[in-house]
Amino acid sequence: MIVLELGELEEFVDLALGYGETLGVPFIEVRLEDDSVGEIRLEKGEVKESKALRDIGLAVRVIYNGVSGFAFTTRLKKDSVEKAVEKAFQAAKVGDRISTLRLPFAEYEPVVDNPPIPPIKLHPKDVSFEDKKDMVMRAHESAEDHGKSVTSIIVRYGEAYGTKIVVNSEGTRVKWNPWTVEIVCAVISRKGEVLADAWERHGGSVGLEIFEDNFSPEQMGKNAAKWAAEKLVSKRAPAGKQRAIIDNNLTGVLAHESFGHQTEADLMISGAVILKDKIGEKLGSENVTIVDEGVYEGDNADSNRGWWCPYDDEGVIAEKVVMLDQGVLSSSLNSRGTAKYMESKPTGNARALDFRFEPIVRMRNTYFTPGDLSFEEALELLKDGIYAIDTMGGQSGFDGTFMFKAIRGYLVRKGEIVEPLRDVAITGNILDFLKNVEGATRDFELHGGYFGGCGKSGQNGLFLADGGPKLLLGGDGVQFGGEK
Amino acid sequence: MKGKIVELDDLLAFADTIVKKAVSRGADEAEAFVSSSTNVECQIQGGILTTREGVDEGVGVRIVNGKSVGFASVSSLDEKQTDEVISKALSLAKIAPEDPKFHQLPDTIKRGTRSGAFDETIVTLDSAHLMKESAKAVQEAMQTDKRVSYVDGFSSLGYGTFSVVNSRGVNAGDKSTGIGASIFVKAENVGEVKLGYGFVVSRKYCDFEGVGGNLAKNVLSYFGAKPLETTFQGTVIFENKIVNDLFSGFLGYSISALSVQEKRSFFADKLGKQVASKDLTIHDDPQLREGIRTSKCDHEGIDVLQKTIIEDGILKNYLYTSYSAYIDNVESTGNAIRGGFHGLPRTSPSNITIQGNKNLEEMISEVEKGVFVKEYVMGLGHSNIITGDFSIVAPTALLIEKGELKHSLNAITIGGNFFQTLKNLQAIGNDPILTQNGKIPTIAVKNLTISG
Repeated sequence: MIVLELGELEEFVDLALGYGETLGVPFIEVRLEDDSVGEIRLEKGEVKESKALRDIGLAVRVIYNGVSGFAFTTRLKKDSVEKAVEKAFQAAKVGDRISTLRLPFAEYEPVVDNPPIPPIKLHPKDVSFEDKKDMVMRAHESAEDHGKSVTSIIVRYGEAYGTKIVVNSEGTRVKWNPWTVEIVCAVISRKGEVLADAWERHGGSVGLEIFEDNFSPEQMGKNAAKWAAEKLVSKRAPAGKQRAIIDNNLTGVLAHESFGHQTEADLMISGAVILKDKIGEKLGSENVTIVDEGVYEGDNADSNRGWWCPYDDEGVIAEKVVMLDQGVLSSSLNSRGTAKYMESKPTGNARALDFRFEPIVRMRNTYFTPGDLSFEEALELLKDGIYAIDTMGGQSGFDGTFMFKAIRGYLVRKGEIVEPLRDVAITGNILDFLKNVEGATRDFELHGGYFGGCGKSGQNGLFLADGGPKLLLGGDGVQFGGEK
Repeated sequence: MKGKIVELDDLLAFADTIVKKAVSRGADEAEAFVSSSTNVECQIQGGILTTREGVDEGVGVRIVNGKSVGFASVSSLDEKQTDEVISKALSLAKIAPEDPKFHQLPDTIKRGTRSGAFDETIVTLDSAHLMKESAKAVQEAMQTDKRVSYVDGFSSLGYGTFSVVNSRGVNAGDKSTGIGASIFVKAENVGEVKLGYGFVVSRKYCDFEGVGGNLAKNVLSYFGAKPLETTFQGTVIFENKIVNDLFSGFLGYSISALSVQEKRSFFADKLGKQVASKDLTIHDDPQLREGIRTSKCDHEGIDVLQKTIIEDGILKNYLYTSYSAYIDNVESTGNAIRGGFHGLPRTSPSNITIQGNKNLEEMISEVEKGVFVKEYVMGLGHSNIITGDFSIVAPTALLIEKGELKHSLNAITIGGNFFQTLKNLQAIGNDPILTQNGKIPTIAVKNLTISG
C-alpha cells in the first residue's frame, strides 16, 4: 500500500488550528499540502527540460458570519503561520462589514479518514527518472518513424503526487495522497504553407504500467504522426449547421466546459449562468445524462483514466452527482457554503488549485453516460455529416454559448467515413446541443492527466478528468466553420 | 529578513550561497533564482466576497553538467529544503541526456538599465483596503442602472523581489509593486443580455473610480441588438483592450528566437522582410517607466534591452534568452521570464508598444462595411498559434456602414489569420491603454470573415 507522510510538517496544522481557537475564531479550516511535481520535455530528440519541483505550504480559512477570510504562506514557521491565521480572521471580519451576500456553511458531520491510494502497480514515485525519460524517447522515435514532412515533435511527461491534509475546528481531519501522470505527444507536419498539427495524450490517476500495456509510447507517437500527416492533405469541413458525431474527448470537454460550469452552485447563486432556477426542468433529450463524481466507479478499467478525488478541500466526501438525468436538470454542484443557500447538501465539489487558494466549487470527473449504439450504428444513423474529434480546449460563455476547435475529423457520407478533415471550429449553445443529442455509443472513455486542467477565478490548471461516449447529434445542434 | 518587503541584498546573498554550495558539490555551472512576493486579492462575484493574502517565496536551481541541465525548485527559503533542491538538481543534471544546443549559463551583460516605478504606498496596504475599494467599484457599476444584473469585480495588489546569481558572475535582481482591477458587467433588458469587461493596471497606487461606472454605461448602450444574419468580408475595428489579447499570444510566440530556431514560428526566415502593413511599428520596451513588465534585468539576471520588433512593417528583431542567443551567437535581449521560482526561463516580450495616429471617429469613417468589436472576445486561446488561424466569438459588436456606426449586434463570429491581419491593417488608433502586456491602441483590420 502506498502512503506518503507529512512528517513533522503536520504539527503546523495543529498549531494553526489551536491559534485560531485562541483568537476566538468561530470556524477555522487549515490545509497543508506537500506536492512533488516532475516534468520532462523532449523536442527534436533532445531533452529540453527535466525538472523536479516541491511545493509546500499552508492555507488558513476563517468563516465569520458566513463570510470567508483566506491566507496562505510558504513560510512554515510558528510566527508566519500565526500571522496567516490573524490575516484570515481580519479579512473575514472586514468582509463581514462589506459583503452583501453571506454563505454560512451547511452542517456536515466531521470526518476522520486517511484513505489509501487505489491499487496500481507503478506509482510515479517508485519509477526512476531514467525509465520515464525512456518512455518519452520511445514516443518521440515512433513519431519520427511514422510521420510525413514532420517539422516538430514535442513529447512531454508530467507527474504530480503528494500529501494533503484538511482539518477544521469541528473535528474533521482528512488526509490523502492525490496523484496524476500524463504523456502528451504533439506532432507538426508542414508542406509548403500548410501546417498540420495533431496530438495523442493519455493520463490520469493511474499507474505508469498503463504506458506498458494499453497506451504504449510507440503507439502514441505513431498515432500523433499519422494524424498530422493525414491533415496535411485533408480539406476544411463544410461550413454551417450539420449532423455530427462528437468523439469521446470532445464530448468530455463539452460535459465539463459547456454544461458542468452551468451547474456550479456559486455561479448559480451569483446569477452568472443561465441554468439558475432551472432545477427540475427538462433541458435535453432523454439520451443525455451528465455526471460529476469524485472517484470513477465504472468497470471499464482500460478507459478509466480519471482523477482520484476521494475528498474535497473542505474535507467533504466527494460524492457522485447526477446533474442532468435523462435530459432533466436534477442537481447542482456544491460546497458547504453554497449548499445551505441552495437548500441542498455539500457534494464534495469545493476544491482549491493548491494551498495558495481557497476552495471554490469545481468539478472532479465529469462525463456523459454511455448509450447503447455501436460506432457503426452511430455512423449509419448519422448518414451525412461530420465526425469531429478531440480539441485542444474550449471556451464557453455564461450565456451557454460555446466554441471549440476540433483538432481533426472525418466527412461522413451515407454512413461511411469518406475523407479526413482539418481542424474545424464548432460553435453553438449548450441548450440546443442537449436537445439535439439523438443517441450515444457504448464505448466510454475518461481522460485525466497532468497537463491542461480547468481554469476558474484565477485558479488555472486544476487536475480533473472528463469524458463520455461518442454522441450522435442532430442538425440543429452545432454550427461548423466560421473561418475562411 | 525584516520588514514587509524582502530586501534585494538579502535575496542576492542567499542566492550566492546556493550557487557556491552547488559548485562545491560538483556542478560545472550553477544558477539560483530566489524570489519573495506578497499578494492580496479580492473578488466580489454577484455579491459573494472572497479575499486571499499570502507570502510566496522559494528557490529555483539550475545545474549544468557538461551539456546536460537539471532544474529543481522548492517553495521555501529554509536551508534544509534548499540543500535538498541542490541535490535534486545535481542528480537530474547527471542523468539528463545532453542538449547539444545548450552552450552555457549567461555571462553578465550591463546596459545601464533602471528599475520601473516602485510605490511604497502599495507595500503598506492590506486586504481591508482592497476590499473597500473593490466594493466601491462594484457598487458604482450596480448603481448605474437597475438593468445591471450582475457584476464580477476582481482586484489585486502586490509587491515582490527577485534575485538571480550564477557561477559565471551574474548577480542581479529587482523589485516591483503593482495594483489592478478588472470588472465584468452583465445587464439585462426584457430578455436581452449584454456584457462588458474592463480593467485598470498600474505599478503605482491608483483607486478604481470610474472603472465600474463607465463600463456599465457602455454595456447599457448595447441594448437593441439585432442579428447580423449574413456572412461577409469586411473591416473589423478591435477596441484597444481586445487588441492586447489578439497581439500578445500570436506575437509573443512568433517573435521568440527559440520558436524561429525550431521552425515553429511563422516569422522564421522573415527577418528584414515585410511582414505587416507599412503603418505598423511595434517596440518591445522593458524600460517604459509605467510599464507593468518593466524591470532592470530579466529573470536570468541580464540587463534588458529596448528594441524594435516591427518597423514600418518590416520585421527587425527576434527576442532572445541566453539559450537561444548562444545558438545564434548573439547577445541575449533580456527577454527571459519565469513564472516564479518554480519556472524555467521562457522567452517573453516585456511591454509591447504600438504607435498609432488615427482617432476613433476617423477610423470608423473610413469603414465601408464592417463591425466595431468591443469589450472582449472569446476563443482566442484556441487559435492555431503556429499558423495564425483564429476563429473568435464577439458577444458585443456594433455594425458600421458607409463610415457610420449603426445598431448593436447579437454575438458574431470572426474568422481570419493573425499574420494576414498584420498585412491588412487599415488603421491604428492614437488611444493606447496600459495593459499587462504593454501599451496598446485600437486597430482596424480589412478582409476578415464576419458572420452571425
